[in-house]
Amino acid sequence: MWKVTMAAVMLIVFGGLGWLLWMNIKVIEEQED
Amino acid sequence: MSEKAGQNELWSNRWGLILAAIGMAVGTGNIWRFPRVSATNGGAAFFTAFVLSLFLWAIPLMAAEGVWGKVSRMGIIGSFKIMCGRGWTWAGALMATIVLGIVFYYGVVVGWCIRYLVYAVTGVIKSGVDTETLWKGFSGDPVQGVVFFLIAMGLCVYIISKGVVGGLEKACRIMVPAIFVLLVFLAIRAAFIPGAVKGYEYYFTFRMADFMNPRTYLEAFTQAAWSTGAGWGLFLTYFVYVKKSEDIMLTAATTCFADTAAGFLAGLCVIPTIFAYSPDPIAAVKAGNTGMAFIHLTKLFAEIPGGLVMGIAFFLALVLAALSSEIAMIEMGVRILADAGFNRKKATWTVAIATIACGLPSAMSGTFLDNQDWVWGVGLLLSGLLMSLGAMKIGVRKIWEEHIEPTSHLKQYWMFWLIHLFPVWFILIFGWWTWQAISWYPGEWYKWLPISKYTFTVGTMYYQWAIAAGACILLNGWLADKMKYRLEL
Repeated sequence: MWKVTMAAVMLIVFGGLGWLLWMNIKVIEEQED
Repeated sequence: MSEKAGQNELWSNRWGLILAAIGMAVGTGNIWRFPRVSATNGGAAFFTAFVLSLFLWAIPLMAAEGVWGKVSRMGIIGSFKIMCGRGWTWAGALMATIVLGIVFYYGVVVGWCIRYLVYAVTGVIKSGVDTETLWKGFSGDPVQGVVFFLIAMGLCVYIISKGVVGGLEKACRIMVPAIFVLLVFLAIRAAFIPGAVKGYEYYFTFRMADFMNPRTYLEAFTQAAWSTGAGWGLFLTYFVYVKKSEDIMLTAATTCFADTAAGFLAGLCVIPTIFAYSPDPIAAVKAGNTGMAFIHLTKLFAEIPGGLVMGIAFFLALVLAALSSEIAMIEMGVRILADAGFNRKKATWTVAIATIACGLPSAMSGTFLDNQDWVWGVGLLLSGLLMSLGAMKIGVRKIWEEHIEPTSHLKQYWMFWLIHLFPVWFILIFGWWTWQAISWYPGEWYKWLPISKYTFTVGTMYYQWAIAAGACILLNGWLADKMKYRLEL
Protein backbone atom coordinates (compact mmCIF):
# COMPACT_ATOMS: atom_id res chain seq x y z
CA MET A 1 0.00 0.00 0.00
CA TRP A 2 2.79 2.43 0.89
CA LYS A 3 4.21 2.00 -2.61
CA VAL A 4 0.95 3.25 -4.13
CA THR A 5 0.93 6.23 -1.75
CA MET A 6 4.56 7.00 -2.57
CA ALA A 7 3.83 6.89 -6.30
CA ALA A 8 0.77 9.13 -5.85
CA VAL A 9 2.69 11.72 -3.79
CA MET A 10 5.53 11.75 -6.30
CA LEU A 11 3.06 12.15 -9.15
CA ILE A 12 1.36 15.12 -7.46
CA VAL A 13 4.55 16.89 -6.35
CA PHE A 14 6.82 16.28 -9.33
CA GLY A 15 3.98 16.08 -11.85
CA GLY A 16 2.56 19.35 -10.56
CA LEU A 17 5.93 21.05 -10.67
CA GLY A 18 6.68 19.62 -14.11
CA TRP A 19 3.38 20.88 -15.49
CA LEU A 20 3.95 24.36 -14.04
CA LEU A 21 7.48 24.50 -15.44
CA TRP A 22 6.13 23.45 -18.83
CA MET A 23 3.57 26.30 -18.58
CA ASN A 24 6.43 28.69 -17.79
CA ILE A 25 8.36 27.49 -20.84
CA LYS A 26 5.30 28.29 -22.98
CA VAL A 27 5.06 31.76 -21.40
CA ILE A 28 8.74 32.42 -22.05
CA GLU A 29 8.35 31.32 -25.67
CA GLU A 30 5.43 33.74 -26.01
CA GLN A 31 7.50 36.54 -24.48
CA GLU A 32 10.36 35.85 -26.91
CA ASP A 33 7.96 35.92 -29.90
CA MET B 1 8.84 61.12 -6.69
CA SER B 2 10.26 58.09 -8.44
CA GLU B 3 13.51 56.38 -9.15
CA LYS B 4 14.35 55.36 -12.72
CA ALA B 5 14.95 51.64 -13.09
CA GLY B 6 18.38 50.91 -14.45
CA GLN B 7 19.14 47.75 -16.44
CA ASN B 8 20.39 46.21 -13.22
CA GLU B 9 17.05 46.73 -11.49
CA LEU B 10 14.79 44.33 -13.37
CA TRP B 11 15.09 40.54 -13.66
CA SER B 12 16.77 39.86 -16.99
CA ASN B 13 14.08 37.29 -17.92
CA ARG B 14 11.36 35.07 -16.47
CA TRP B 15 13.76 32.29 -15.47
CA GLY B 16 15.71 34.81 -13.42
CA LEU B 17 12.55 35.74 -11.52
CA ILE B 18 11.43 32.12 -11.02
CA LEU B 19 14.82 30.92 -9.78
CA ALA B 20 15.10 33.87 -7.40
CA ALA B 21 11.58 33.24 -6.08
CA ILE B 22 12.33 29.53 -5.58
CA GLY B 23 15.61 30.43 -3.89
CA MET B 24 13.68 32.73 -1.57
CA ALA B 25 11.24 29.97 -0.62
CA VAL B 26 13.62 27.02 -0.36
CA GLY B 27 15.51 27.35 2.90
CA THR B 28 16.60 25.31 5.86
CA GLY B 29 12.90 24.76 6.63
CA ASN B 30 12.67 22.50 3.59
CA ILE B 31 15.76 20.46 4.34
CA TRP B 32 15.63 19.94 8.09
CA ARG B 33 12.08 20.86 9.09
CA PHE B 34 9.92 19.40 6.31
CA PRO B 35 11.25 15.80 6.65
CA ARG B 36 11.00 15.95 10.44
CA VAL B 37 7.52 17.50 10.64
CA SER B 38 6.09 15.42 7.81
CA ALA B 39 7.44 12.16 9.25
CA THR B 40 6.21 12.85 12.79
CA ASN B 41 2.78 14.02 11.65
CA GLY B 42 1.48 11.21 9.55
CA GLY B 43 3.73 11.10 6.47
CA ALA B 44 1.25 10.38 3.69
CA ALA B 45 -1.59 12.12 5.54
CA PHE B 46 0.66 15.14 6.06
CA PHE B 47 1.39 15.39 2.33
CA THR B 48 -2.34 15.57 1.62
CA ALA B 49 -2.75 18.34 4.17
CA PHE B 50 0.33 20.15 2.90
CA VAL B 51 -0.83 20.23 -0.74
CA LEU B 52 -4.17 21.54 0.56
CA SER B 53 -2.34 24.27 2.50
CA LEU B 54 -0.56 25.42 -0.67
CA PHE B 55 -3.93 26.27 -2.21
CA LEU B 56 -5.66 27.53 0.95
CA TRP B 57 -2.73 29.50 2.33
CA ALA B 58 0.40 30.01 0.30
CA ILE B 59 -0.63 30.59 -3.33
CA PRO B 60 -3.33 33.26 -2.69
CA LEU B 61 -1.08 35.15 -0.26
CA MET B 62 1.85 35.10 -2.67
CA ALA B 63 -0.40 36.29 -5.50
CA ALA B 64 -1.48 39.27 -3.39
CA GLU B 65 2.16 40.00 -2.59
CA GLY B 66 3.00 39.87 -6.30
CA VAL B 67 0.32 42.48 -7.00
CA TRP B 68 1.60 44.74 -4.21
CA GLY B 69 5.16 44.69 -5.59
CA LYS B 70 4.30 44.89 -9.28
CA VAL B 71 1.71 47.66 -8.97
CA SER B 72 3.34 49.84 -6.33
CA ARG B 73 6.99 49.30 -7.41
CA MET B 74 7.88 49.79 -3.76
CA GLY B 75 9.01 47.58 -0.91
CA ILE B 76 6.76 46.21 1.79
CA ILE B 77 6.11 49.50 3.66
CA GLY B 78 5.68 51.78 0.65
CA SER B 79 3.51 49.24 -1.15
CA PHE B 80 0.95 49.24 1.69
CA LYS B 81 0.82 53.02 1.49
CA ILE B 82 0.24 52.91 -2.28
CA MET B 83 -2.18 49.99 -2.32
CA CYS B 84 -4.26 50.49 0.83
CA GLY B 85 -3.77 54.15 1.62
CA ARG B 86 -1.51 56.20 3.86
CA GLY B 87 -3.25 54.98 7.02
CA TRP B 88 -2.13 51.40 6.30
CA THR B 89 1.60 52.16 6.15
CA TRP B 90 2.02 50.78 9.68
CA ALA B 91 0.80 47.35 8.49
CA GLY B 92 3.66 47.12 5.99
CA ALA B 93 6.06 48.35 8.66
CA LEU B 94 4.88 45.67 11.10
CA MET B 95 5.31 42.97 8.44
CA ALA B 96 8.81 44.31 7.77
CA THR B 97 9.60 44.30 11.50
CA ILE B 98 8.50 40.67 11.84
CA VAL B 99 10.65 39.59 8.88
CA LEU B 100 13.62 41.65 10.07
CA GLY B 101 13.24 39.92 13.44
CA ILE B 102 13.84 36.69 11.54
CA VAL B 103 16.67 38.10 9.38
CA PHE B 104 18.64 38.95 12.50
CA TYR B 105 18.82 35.40 13.83
CA TYR B 106 18.58 33.55 10.51
CA GLY B 107 22.04 34.88 9.60
CA VAL B 108 23.28 32.97 12.66
CA VAL B 109 21.62 29.79 11.36
CA VAL B 110 23.32 30.31 7.97
CA GLY B 111 26.58 30.50 9.94
CA TRP B 112 25.83 27.14 11.63
CA CYS B 113 25.27 25.52 8.24
CA ILE B 114 28.56 26.94 6.93
CA ARG B 115 30.33 25.62 10.06
CA TYR B 116 29.02 22.11 9.48
CA LEU B 117 29.95 22.22 5.80
CA VAL B 118 33.48 23.13 6.91
CA TYR B 119 33.39 20.25 9.44
CA ALA B 120 32.38 17.85 6.65
CA VAL B 121 34.93 19.11 4.12
CA THR B 122 37.82 19.15 6.60
CA GLY B 123 37.15 15.60 7.78
CA VAL B 124 35.98 16.44 11.30
CA ILE B 125 32.86 14.39 10.67
CA LYS B 126 34.44 10.94 10.70
CA SER B 127 33.90 7.55 12.28
CA GLY B 128 33.87 7.66 16.07
CA VAL B 129 33.14 11.38 16.40
CA ASP B 130 30.78 12.28 19.25
CA THR B 131 28.37 14.51 17.33
CA GLU B 132 26.51 15.62 20.45
CA THR B 133 29.74 16.91 21.99
CA LEU B 134 30.66 18.48 18.65
CA TRP B 135 27.34 20.37 18.49
CA LYS B 136 27.43 21.42 22.14
CA GLY B 137 31.03 22.56 21.74
CA PHE B 138 30.13 24.70 18.74
CA SER B 139 26.77 26.04 19.90
CA GLY B 140 28.20 26.85 23.33
CA ASP B 141 31.11 28.82 21.88
CA PRO B 142 30.05 32.45 21.26
CA VAL B 143 33.28 33.24 19.38
CA GLN B 144 32.67 30.56 16.74
CA GLY B 145 29.01 31.55 16.54
CA VAL B 146 29.92 35.18 15.84
CA VAL B 147 32.71 34.33 13.37
CA PHE B 148 30.51 32.11 11.21
CA PHE B 149 27.63 34.59 11.47
CA LEU B 150 29.95 37.31 10.12
CA ILE B 151 31.08 35.02 7.28
CA ALA B 152 27.43 34.42 6.37
CA MET B 153 26.71 38.14 6.44
CA GLY B 154 29.79 38.87 4.33
CA LEU B 155 28.51 36.51 1.63
CA CYS B 156 25.07 38.12 1.72
CA VAL B 157 26.45 41.66 1.47
CA TYR B 158 28.67 40.64 -1.44
CA ILE B 159 25.73 39.18 -3.38
CA ILE B 160 23.22 41.94 -2.66
CA SER B 161 25.61 44.82 -3.30
CA LYS B 162 25.97 43.54 -6.89
CA GLY B 163 22.34 44.42 -7.59
CA VAL B 164 19.27 42.55 -8.76
CA VAL B 165 20.68 41.00 -11.94
CA GLY B 166 24.40 40.90 -11.14
CA GLY B 167 23.88 39.75 -7.57
CA LEU B 168 20.55 38.16 -6.62
CA GLU B 169 19.72 36.68 -10.02
CA LYS B 170 23.23 35.49 -10.79
CA ALA B 171 23.56 33.84 -7.37
CA CYS B 172 20.17 32.14 -7.62
CA ARG B 173 20.89 30.89 -11.16
CA ILE B 174 23.76 28.93 -9.63
CA MET B 175 22.43 28.14 -6.16
CA VAL B 176 18.88 26.97 -6.93
CA PRO B 177 19.73 24.36 -9.61
CA ALA B 178 22.62 23.24 -7.36
CA ILE B 179 20.23 22.72 -4.42
CA PHE B 180 17.96 20.50 -6.53
CA VAL B 181 20.87 18.53 -8.08
CA LEU B 182 22.27 17.88 -4.58
CA LEU B 183 18.87 16.87 -3.19
CA VAL B 184 18.20 14.51 -6.12
CA PHE B 185 21.66 12.98 -5.63
CA LEU B 186 20.99 12.54 -1.90
CA ALA B 187 17.54 11.03 -2.47
CA ILE B 188 18.94 8.53 -5.01
CA ARG B 189 21.90 7.68 -2.78
CA ALA B 190 19.58 7.09 0.17
CA ALA B 191 17.45 4.73 -1.95
CA PHE B 192 20.43 2.38 -2.31
CA ILE B 193 21.13 2.16 1.42
CA PRO B 194 20.28 -1.34 2.70
CA GLY B 195 17.20 -1.01 4.89
CA ALA B 196 16.04 2.26 3.31
CA VAL B 197 12.72 0.61 2.56
CA LYS B 198 11.87 0.74 6.30
CA GLY B 199 11.97 4.53 6.03
CA TYR B 200 9.77 4.61 2.94
CA GLU B 201 7.31 2.27 4.59
CA TYR B 202 7.04 4.50 7.65
CA TYR B 203 6.94 7.70 5.57
CA PHE B 204 4.32 6.61 3.05
CA THR B 205 1.99 4.37 5.02
CA PHE B 206 -1.39 6.05 4.96
CA ARG B 207 -2.94 6.05 8.43
CA MET B 208 -6.55 7.14 8.63
CA ALA B 209 -6.08 8.28 12.26
CA ASP B 210 -3.45 10.81 11.11
CA PHE B 211 -5.63 11.91 8.21
CA MET B 212 -8.50 12.65 10.61
CA ASN B 213 -6.26 14.28 13.22
CA PRO B 214 -6.56 18.12 13.25
CA ARG B 215 -2.93 18.35 14.38
CA THR B 216 -1.80 16.99 10.97
CA TYR B 217 -3.49 19.96 9.27
CA LEU B 218 -2.24 22.52 11.80
CA GLU B 219 1.34 21.31 11.37
CA ALA B 220 0.96 21.26 7.57
CA PHE B 221 -0.41 24.81 7.45
CA THR B 222 2.29 26.04 9.83
CA GLN B 223 4.94 24.38 7.69
CA ALA B 224 3.47 26.04 4.58
CA ALA B 225 3.63 29.43 6.31
CA TRP B 226 7.24 29.00 7.37
CA SER B 227 8.53 27.18 4.32
CA THR B 228 7.00 28.84 1.27
CA GLY B 229 7.67 32.40 2.44
CA ALA B 230 4.04 33.39 1.76
CA GLY B 231 3.03 36.48 3.68
CA TRP B 232 6.62 37.48 4.47
CA GLY B 233 6.82 40.30 1.91
CA LEU B 234 9.75 38.63 0.12
CA PHE B 235 7.78 37.58 -2.96
CA LEU B 236 6.44 41.15 -2.88
CA THR B 237 9.98 42.57 -2.91
CA TYR B 238 11.05 40.37 -5.83
CA PHE B 239 7.96 41.48 -7.78
CA VAL B 240 9.08 45.10 -7.55
CA TYR B 241 11.68 44.15 -10.18
CA VAL B 242 9.44 42.36 -12.72
CA LYS B 243 8.38 43.44 -16.18
CA LYS B 244 4.79 44.66 -16.54
CA SER B 245 3.75 41.55 -18.48
CA GLU B 246 4.92 39.10 -15.82
CA ASP B 247 2.47 36.40 -14.72
CA ILE B 248 1.85 36.59 -10.96
CA MET B 249 -0.34 33.51 -10.43
CA LEU B 250 1.86 31.12 -12.39
CA THR B 251 4.99 32.33 -10.59
CA ALA B 252 3.32 31.92 -7.20
CA ALA B 253 2.15 28.38 -7.99
CA THR B 254 5.53 27.38 -9.46
CA THR B 255 7.35 28.71 -6.41
CA CYS B 256 5.07 26.81 -4.03
CA PHE B 257 5.37 23.50 -5.90
CA ALA B 258 9.16 23.85 -6.25
CA ASP B 259 9.35 24.53 -2.52
CA THR B 260 7.29 21.38 -1.85
CA ALA B 261 9.46 19.34 -4.20
CA ALA B 262 12.60 20.47 -2.36
CA GLY B 263 11.14 19.47 1.02
CA PHE B 264 9.93 16.16 -0.37
CA LEU B 265 13.35 15.37 -1.87
CA ALA B 266 14.97 16.18 1.47
CA GLY B 267 12.50 13.78 3.10
CA LEU B 268 13.45 11.06 0.59
CA CYS B 269 17.05 11.46 1.73
CA VAL B 270 16.69 12.03 5.47
CA ILE B 271 13.98 9.54 6.48
CA PRO B 272 15.32 6.39 4.73
CA THR B 273 18.86 7.19 5.96
CA ILE B 274 17.70 7.58 9.56
CA PHE B 275 15.49 4.47 9.47
CA ALA B 276 18.24 2.38 7.88
CA TYR B 277 20.95 3.23 10.37
CA SER B 278 19.64 4.94 13.46
CA PRO B 279 19.09 2.66 16.48
CA ASP B 280 16.07 4.79 17.44
CA PRO B 281 14.75 6.46 14.26
CA ILE B 282 11.62 7.92 15.89
CA ALA B 283 13.74 9.66 18.55
CA ALA B 284 16.03 10.99 15.82
CA VAL B 285 13.21 12.59 13.80
CA LYS B 286 11.69 14.02 16.98
CA ALA B 287 15.00 15.58 18.07
CA GLY B 288 14.19 19.04 16.70
CA ASN B 289 15.70 20.70 13.64
CA THR B 290 19.25 21.14 14.88
CA GLY B 291 19.21 17.88 16.87
CA MET B 292 18.20 15.91 13.81
CA ALA B 293 20.59 17.62 11.37
CA PHE B 294 23.62 18.36 13.52
CA ILE B 295 23.58 15.39 15.90
CA HIS B 296 21.71 12.40 14.47
CA LEU B 297 22.24 12.84 10.71
CA THR B 298 25.82 13.99 11.23
CA LYS B 299 26.43 10.83 13.25
CA LEU B 300 25.07 8.73 10.40
CA PHE B 301 27.17 10.56 7.81
CA ALA B 302 30.20 9.85 9.99
CA GLU B 303 29.52 6.13 10.26
CA ILE B 304 27.87 4.89 7.05
CA PRO B 305 29.75 3.82 3.89
CA GLY B 306 30.06 6.83 1.56
CA GLY B 307 28.73 9.03 4.35
CA LEU B 308 31.38 11.70 3.86
CA VAL B 309 30.17 12.47 0.32
CA MET B 310 26.56 12.46 1.55
CA GLY B 311 27.50 14.76 4.43
CA ILE B 312 29.24 17.27 2.17
CA ALA B 313 26.31 17.22 -0.29
CA PHE B 314 23.77 17.58 2.52
CA PHE B 315 25.47 20.50 4.27
CA LEU B 316 26.25 22.20 0.95
CA ALA B 317 22.55 21.99 0.04
CA LEU B 318 21.72 23.36 3.48
CA VAL B 319 24.15 26.30 3.09
CA LEU B 320 22.87 27.19 -0.39
CA ALA B 321 19.22 26.95 0.72
CA ALA B 322 19.86 29.07 3.82
CA LEU B 323 21.86 31.65 1.88
CA SER B 324 19.32 32.00 -0.94
CA SER B 325 16.62 32.74 1.66
CA GLU B 326 18.74 35.10 3.76
CA ILE B 327 19.61 37.25 0.74
CA ALA B 328 15.90 37.56 -0.05
CA MET B 329 15.20 38.76 3.49
CA ILE B 330 18.04 41.27 3.42
CA GLU B 331 16.89 42.49 0.00
CA MET B 332 13.51 43.19 1.59
CA GLY B 333 15.23 45.63 3.96
CA VAL B 334 17.36 47.07 1.17
CA ARG B 335 14.27 47.80 -0.96
CA ILE B 336 12.59 49.62 1.94
CA LEU B 337 15.64 51.87 2.35
CA ALA B 338 15.79 52.40 -1.43
CA ASP B 339 12.17 53.62 -1.20
CA ALA B 340 13.42 56.14 1.35
CA GLY B 341 16.09 57.41 -1.04
CA PHE B 342 19.15 55.27 -0.16
CA ASN B 343 21.29 53.98 -3.03
CA ARG B 344 21.86 50.20 -3.15
CA LYS B 345 25.34 50.25 -1.65
CA LYS B 346 24.34 52.44 1.28
CA ALA B 347 21.12 50.50 1.82
CA THR B 348 22.93 47.13 1.75
CA TRP B 349 25.53 48.20 4.29
CA THR B 350 22.90 49.78 6.53
CA VAL B 351 20.82 46.58 6.62
CA ALA B 352 23.95 44.44 7.04
CA ILE B 353 25.24 46.49 9.98
CA ALA B 354 21.79 46.46 11.61
CA THR B 355 21.60 42.68 11.07
CA ILE B 356 25.01 42.13 12.60
CA ALA B 357 24.23 44.38 15.58
CA CYS B 358 20.82 42.84 16.23
CA GLY B 359 21.96 39.31 15.36
CA LEU B 360 24.89 39.26 17.79
CA PRO B 361 22.78 38.34 20.85
CA SER B 362 21.43 35.33 18.89
CA ALA B 363 24.95 34.41 17.76
CA MET B 364 26.12 34.42 21.37
CA SER B 365 23.12 32.87 23.08
CA GLY B 366 21.09 29.90 21.87
CA THR B 367 18.29 30.82 24.29
CA PHE B 368 17.94 34.29 22.82
CA LEU B 369 17.86 32.80 19.30
CA ASP B 370 15.17 30.31 20.37
CA ASN B 371 13.12 33.18 21.81
CA GLN B 372 13.40 35.25 18.63
CA ASP B 373 12.58 32.20 16.50
CA TRP B 374 9.44 31.67 18.59
CA VAL B 375 8.31 35.32 18.64
CA TRP B 376 8.88 36.23 15.01
CA GLY B 377 8.32 32.74 13.58
CA VAL B 378 4.77 32.70 14.93
CA GLY B 379 4.61 36.40 13.99
CA LEU B 380 4.60 35.31 10.36
CA LEU B 381 1.01 34.21 10.85
CA LEU B 382 0.19 37.79 11.82
CA SER B 383 2.14 39.04 8.82
CA GLY B 384 0.05 36.84 6.51
CA LEU B 385 -3.13 38.08 8.16
CA LEU B 386 -2.19 41.72 7.45
CA MET B 387 -1.55 40.84 3.81
CA SER B 388 -4.91 39.09 3.45
CA LEU B 389 -6.77 41.95 5.18
CA GLY B 390 -5.07 44.42 2.85
CA ALA B 391 -6.26 42.41 -0.16
CA MET B 392 -9.81 42.23 1.19
CA LYS B 393 -9.79 45.95 1.90
CA ILE B 394 -9.09 46.69 -1.78
CA GLY B 395 -11.39 43.93 -3.04
CA VAL B 396 -10.26 40.47 -4.06
CA ARG B 397 -12.27 40.43 -7.29
CA LYS B 398 -11.00 43.92 -8.20
CA ILE B 399 -7.36 42.90 -7.67
CA TRP B 400 -7.89 39.77 -9.75
CA GLU B 401 -9.57 41.55 -12.66
CA GLU B 402 -7.23 44.55 -12.77
CA HIS B 403 -3.84 43.14 -11.83
CA ILE B 404 -3.68 39.35 -12.04
CA GLU B 405 -6.05 38.04 -14.69
CA PRO B 406 -4.90 40.23 -17.66
CA THR B 407 -1.35 38.79 -17.69
CA SER B 408 -2.10 35.36 -16.22
CA HIS B 409 -1.82 32.01 -17.96
CA LEU B 410 -3.36 30.37 -14.91
CA LYS B 411 -6.77 32.01 -15.01
CA GLN B 412 -8.23 30.30 -11.97
CA TYR B 413 -9.99 32.96 -9.91
CA TRP B 414 -10.90 30.46 -7.17
CA MET B 415 -7.21 30.04 -6.38
CA PHE B 416 -7.02 33.72 -5.46
CA TRP B 417 -10.51 33.92 -3.96
CA LEU B 418 -9.37 31.53 -1.23
CA ILE B 419 -7.53 34.45 0.40
CA HIS B 420 -10.94 35.31 1.91
CA LEU B 421 -10.58 32.27 4.17
CA PHE B 422 -7.21 33.32 5.54
CA PRO B 423 -8.56 34.89 8.77
CA VAL B 424 -10.22 31.54 9.57
CA TRP B 425 -6.90 29.65 9.21
CA PHE B 426 -5.20 32.36 11.22
CA ILE B 427 -7.61 32.01 14.14
CA LEU B 428 -7.37 28.20 14.11
CA ILE B 429 -3.60 27.96 13.81
CA PHE B 430 -2.70 30.91 15.99
CA GLY B 431 -5.21 29.74 18.58
CA TRP B 432 -3.63 26.28 18.53
CA TRP B 433 -0.11 27.66 19.01
CA THR B 434 -1.31 29.93 21.82
CA TRP B 435 -3.10 27.03 23.52
CA GLN B 436 0.01 24.86 23.29
CA ALA B 437 2.24 27.61 24.66
CA ILE B 438 -0.08 28.19 27.64
CA SER B 439 0.23 24.51 28.55
CA TRP B 440 4.05 24.75 28.49
CA TYR B 441 4.07 27.34 31.30
CA PRO B 442 1.10 26.62 33.60
CA GLY B 443 0.26 29.74 35.60
CA GLU B 444 3.15 31.72 34.11
CA TRP B 445 2.24 31.81 30.44
CA TYR B 446 1.78 35.60 30.45
CA LYS B 447 5.30 36.37 31.80
CA TRP B 448 8.14 37.37 29.52
CA LEU B 449 11.17 38.49 31.53
CA PRO B 450 13.80 37.18 31.91
CA ILE B 451 13.84 35.75 28.41
CA SER B 452 16.15 32.95 29.56
CA LYS B 453 13.35 31.66 31.81
CA TYR B 454 10.29 32.55 29.71
CA THR B 455 11.72 31.71 26.29
CA PHE B 456 8.56 30.29 24.71
CA THR B 457 5.72 31.93 26.65
CA VAL B 458 2.67 33.54 25.12
CA GLY B 459 3.67 36.64 27.09
CA THR B 460 7.05 37.04 25.39
CA MET B 461 5.33 36.77 22.02
CA TYR B 462 2.55 39.25 22.81
CA TYR B 463 4.78 41.82 24.51
CA GLN B 464 7.34 41.90 21.71
CA TRP B 465 4.61 42.07 19.08
CA ALA B 466 2.87 44.84 21.01
CA ILE B 467 6.08 46.89 21.22
CA ALA B 468 6.66 46.43 17.47
CA ALA B 469 3.03 47.19 16.55
CA GLY B 470 2.93 50.24 18.85
CA ALA B 471 6.10 51.66 17.31
CA CYS B 472 4.83 51.07 13.76
CA ILE B 473 1.47 52.74 14.49
CA LEU B 474 3.15 55.72 16.17
CA LEU B 475 5.55 56.13 13.25
CA ASN B 476 2.85 55.65 10.60
CA GLY B 477 2.87 59.25 9.35
CA TRP B 478 6.65 59.57 9.40
CA LEU B 479 7.12 56.31 7.51
CA ALA B 480 4.48 57.28 4.95
CA ASP B 481 6.37 60.53 4.31
CA LYS B 482 9.69 58.73 3.97
CA MET B 483 8.51 56.10 1.47
CA LYS B 484 8.44 58.21 -1.68
CA TYR B 485 10.90 56.76 -4.21
CA ARG B 486 9.11 54.28 -6.45
CA LEU B 487 10.99 52.23 -8.98
CA GLU B 488 10.07 53.70 -12.35
CA LEU B 489 9.99 51.54 -15.47
